[in-house]
Amino acid sequence: MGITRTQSNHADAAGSGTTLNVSLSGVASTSLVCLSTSYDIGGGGTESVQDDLTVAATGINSTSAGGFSQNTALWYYKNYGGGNRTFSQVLSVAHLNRGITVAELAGAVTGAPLDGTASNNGTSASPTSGNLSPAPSIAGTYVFGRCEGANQPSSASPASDIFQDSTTFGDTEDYVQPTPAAFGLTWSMSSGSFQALAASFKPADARPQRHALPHNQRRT
Amino acid sequence: MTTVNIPQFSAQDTPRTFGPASLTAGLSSLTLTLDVSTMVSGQVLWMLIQFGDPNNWTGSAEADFDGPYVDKHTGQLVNTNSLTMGFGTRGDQPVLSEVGWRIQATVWSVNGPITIPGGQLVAS
Repeated sequence: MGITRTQSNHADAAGSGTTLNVSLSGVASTSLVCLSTSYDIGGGGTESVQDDLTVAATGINSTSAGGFSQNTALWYYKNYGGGNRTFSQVLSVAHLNRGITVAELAGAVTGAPLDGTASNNGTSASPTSGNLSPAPSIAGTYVFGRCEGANQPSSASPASDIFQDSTTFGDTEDYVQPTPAAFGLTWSMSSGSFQALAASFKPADARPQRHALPHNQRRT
Repeated sequence: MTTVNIPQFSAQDTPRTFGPASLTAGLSSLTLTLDVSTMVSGQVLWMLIQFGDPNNWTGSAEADFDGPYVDKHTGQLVNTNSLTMGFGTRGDQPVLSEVGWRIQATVWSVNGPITIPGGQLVAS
């Protein structure tokens, strides 16, 4: 079965503020919940993500590099409690161009689902997160990521678009990798500066890779 | 596209709701845009948008806003604020609005009333 995206939602706000909330209805218990956020970094301060029960999301990675004034971050909840929930991007001081995307995933490991991470920035018409480290080693690994650009990025094959954020110039996408191999997410945009993040998660129904025993160790 | 025109009103600390209004089937995002040109320093405007069944809203987004700002993409002073929500996806398919769904916007202020010359709630 692997990991499947069961629902998602997205909000972005152009003007300056400290709180941006977005809801999911009927979240199943034990789900994996992945979030991406972004905001204009002018003014400093800190960012956190929490739900309406004030349970904090776990930060995966973040970056404000790339040559333009934006910060991008990935977050997750493992083995989530479920229900009708609101997720909040909370900034310690007001910022412009805020965005939050949340996705509920079914079929992930509940104990320690986070596997690899990747972070990259530069100038390109094909922004990439760079390869995940460690590389996915399980068939059906789920990969979630966000790219912010000086221009509007779009999702690129083989990933699927979750939401394109025209306020921040961001895009959140995901992909289920069928076979273990080195992998990073990519996007497309008119060439310009970018910052890109990715994270991978383990499926619950993964089977350990079998390795044949050397001839001299086989039973006869 | 479904558009709800919001007339001039005074945002107060008691929330003011516009709608619910019928939503055309097959749409996938919702944007509230308000003229905030009268805001002064220290005031905060809260914006809430909702879609779905009014008895049990399917989705919502909410944000605060502290006044006109300079857009980083254009460098121009912006006297409006917008809050956009995607309706979400089921698997890889966009969730499109269904027959019977409604939309509404709720607005309130902190630190004094704010005259809002007008705005729009647009589903597309």
